[in-house]
Amino acid sequence: MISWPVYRLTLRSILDGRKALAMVVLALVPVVAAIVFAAAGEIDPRIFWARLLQRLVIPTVTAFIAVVLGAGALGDEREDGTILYLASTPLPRRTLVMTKILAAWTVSMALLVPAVVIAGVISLGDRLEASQILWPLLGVALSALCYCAVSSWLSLATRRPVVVGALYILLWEGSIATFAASADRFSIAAYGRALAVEGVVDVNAPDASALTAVLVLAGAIVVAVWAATRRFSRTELP
Amino acid sequence: MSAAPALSFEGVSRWYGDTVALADVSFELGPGVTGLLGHNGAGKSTALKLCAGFTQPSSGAVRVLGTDLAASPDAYRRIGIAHDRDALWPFMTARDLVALCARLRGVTDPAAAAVRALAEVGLEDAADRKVKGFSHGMRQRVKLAQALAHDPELLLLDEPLNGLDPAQRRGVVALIQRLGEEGRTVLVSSHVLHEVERMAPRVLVLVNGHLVASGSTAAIRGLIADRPRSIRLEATEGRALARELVGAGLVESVRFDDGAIVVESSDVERLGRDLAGLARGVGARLRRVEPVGDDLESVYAYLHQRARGVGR
Amino acid sequence: MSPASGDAEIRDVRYSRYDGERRGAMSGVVSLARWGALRSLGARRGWKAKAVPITLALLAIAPAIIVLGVRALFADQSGIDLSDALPFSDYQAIIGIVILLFAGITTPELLCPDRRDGTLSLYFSTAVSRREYLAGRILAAVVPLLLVTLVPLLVLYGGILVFELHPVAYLQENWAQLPRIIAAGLILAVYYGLVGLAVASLTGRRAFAIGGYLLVLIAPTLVAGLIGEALGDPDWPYLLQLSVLPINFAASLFPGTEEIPNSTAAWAGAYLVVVGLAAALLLRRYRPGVEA
Repeated sequence: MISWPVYRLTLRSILDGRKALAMVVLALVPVVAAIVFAAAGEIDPRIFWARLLQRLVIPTVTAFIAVVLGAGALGDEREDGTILYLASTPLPRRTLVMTKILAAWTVSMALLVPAVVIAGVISLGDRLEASQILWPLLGVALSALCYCAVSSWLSLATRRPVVVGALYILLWEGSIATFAASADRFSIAAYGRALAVEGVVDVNAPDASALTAVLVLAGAIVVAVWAATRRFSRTELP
Repeated sequence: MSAAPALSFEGVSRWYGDTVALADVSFELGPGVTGLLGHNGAGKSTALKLCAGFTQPSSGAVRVLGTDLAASPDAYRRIGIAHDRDALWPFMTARDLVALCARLRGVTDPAAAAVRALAEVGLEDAADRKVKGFSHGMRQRVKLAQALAHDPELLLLDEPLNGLDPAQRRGVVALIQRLGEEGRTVLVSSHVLHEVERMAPRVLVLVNGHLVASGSTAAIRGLIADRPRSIRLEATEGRALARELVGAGLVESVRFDDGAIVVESSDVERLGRDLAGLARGVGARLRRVEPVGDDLESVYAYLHQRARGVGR
Repeated sequence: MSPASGDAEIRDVRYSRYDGERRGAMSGVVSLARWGALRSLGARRGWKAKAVPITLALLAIAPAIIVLGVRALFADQSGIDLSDALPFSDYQAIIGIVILLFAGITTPELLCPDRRDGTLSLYFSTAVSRREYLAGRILAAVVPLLLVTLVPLLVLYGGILVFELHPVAYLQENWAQLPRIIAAGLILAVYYGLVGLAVASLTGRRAFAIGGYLLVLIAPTLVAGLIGEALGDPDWPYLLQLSVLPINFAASLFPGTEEIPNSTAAWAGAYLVVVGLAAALLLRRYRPGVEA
């Protein structure tokens, strides 16, 4: 299912570039916002925390980090041509796809988990409860995995996965889905948000129930892995 | 040849939209080195990609080591591929890179395999340097080393001599020859003829996506009966002899080159039979009779010219 | 001097001299700008590279065309006055995402391929200096951007003029809008162009340039929005909404836009800080002596 040599190789190649550094800066953005809020905020910290998760942590920070890393895990190898060394091994294509997704997700979580925990502790202050951190972590983890899986499919389906992914995040999730509720059902961020604010407060109507969110995200991950495997064996490499 | 050829194409075509890269190509390869010849854009890379399973044929079937690679990637344990992209993980050392490739292809002791393969291509001294700083020739040899490391039965080498200096070329040519003599099936693509001729007793010639010739170079030469061959004659009474040759219809053209006669004939056998008698008839003494440019180069040029209209 | 003996000759072709007319550094800048702009719009590339900028430009003009079309078709019958249906001050905000994306897609094309393919050192080994290269690329970024920041407003202005019963009277009343429109177009084009180039100058990969540019502008906007709410909606966080900063600045130039928070001077200040930082980054990345 997972090839550990390829996993280690992918971790090294993500950490080798300046990309990881840019992602660290991005992960710090919610922490900065939390610090500013803690210094001068006037509203209920739980409401701020929920809004921070719904508007910044899930749809922007998690989405971009996971899409950039997920698209790069296979896409960079494809762009450079090194994917040919991986393709000419007895490893099934599905193993390669899943290994790459897992590696991208690992690095994403290494950045996101500390960022979410620190931002949560700072913005909640003395009203901190474990569930207000754990639910967001679950939402971040599942939506990041889903973004990684979808973007790794994108990296095999198009030559510009990051551009397509950014357009999806900004145009679909950021613009169209905010006007049209039905479009929101087809956005990863909606389900990530639903999970993230489950343990916080009901600031506004949740996008979906926690169970639905987990099922939809898991389903999307499975479909993305299947589609990526299929593309991998059908497209011409590199 | 044993029952299942190491590599076989059965009526393979591959097209990209309106462009036909490979048209109805069929061949079988057994052990030994085979050269894949063709100009840029003739379909060499597409053919090698099909062999390596990096793309699927639009029609026809490619069988590698008796199986379809897309269905059973396990056969990659027995295949070594050096492709034409100048791609290596820049942050790895040559040793790590070759060992990783060997490990992924199921070698039990990848470290030892890497040492052996790097020694084969003469890179022992640079083994622990990062690939990032390697010259083109060194990268080329790393690519070759990773193709060799798992002791494969079938080797697919795309332009393996590119970027090498003459000494390295000799080394790699010798290595490829040895791989062929060890009973491995080696397919080497190139557009540099004399190099292919040195290492490959057999060739496949691609022109505009069509396989226009295959087999040993000598056999190919013999098969093309209608090819005009140039013969250089050194004789006294050259002009009289030439007149007789033209008169007898033995040659298509005659030209004088530095005192010698160069004739073109499409029926060399008859020319050989009748030449002596004709010469005696005009009182000419033949000092020397030899074919001109009867090497692979001229065969290739001829095939290319003849097939130029095909596939366009 | 080429060594020659008998009928053999070795020609010295390594150094060739140009004897034609020399047209000066300005011509180099203009040439860089011209070809850069055309290439970023998709010239000599596949149809996909052409389709995106053209679609975005059409989307930018669409509101003007729609308003003018509705006015031309229905205004006479219904007697509705549509002259204020689309104020000039609102237009750029409506097509804001189009402008943002247009710059995001065109600017990396100007710098990244030169870095990635190693053509930068070729440029600098010719008579083109780093400053001239930069000037050419900034022109190549800003001028095509006017297509989405200025042209739609001019189309609207011209269209209203054509449909007006008394064009001269309209012109007398509204002549002052024209310099504002031009200023607004330039403000946006310079801002998005320079920020896009500044981010692109940091990387050789187009994908990172586009992603980085969008993040640099959008992440502060989101954070500023959250913080503004948390602090009871004061005026200053609006200045940090980098993705719409020039749009608000430009809109504040028009009369009748008092609901925009902060003074025009405050907007100008924030605008100059961002543009100044982008320009400083560009000058630093292309300073003399730095290896391309």
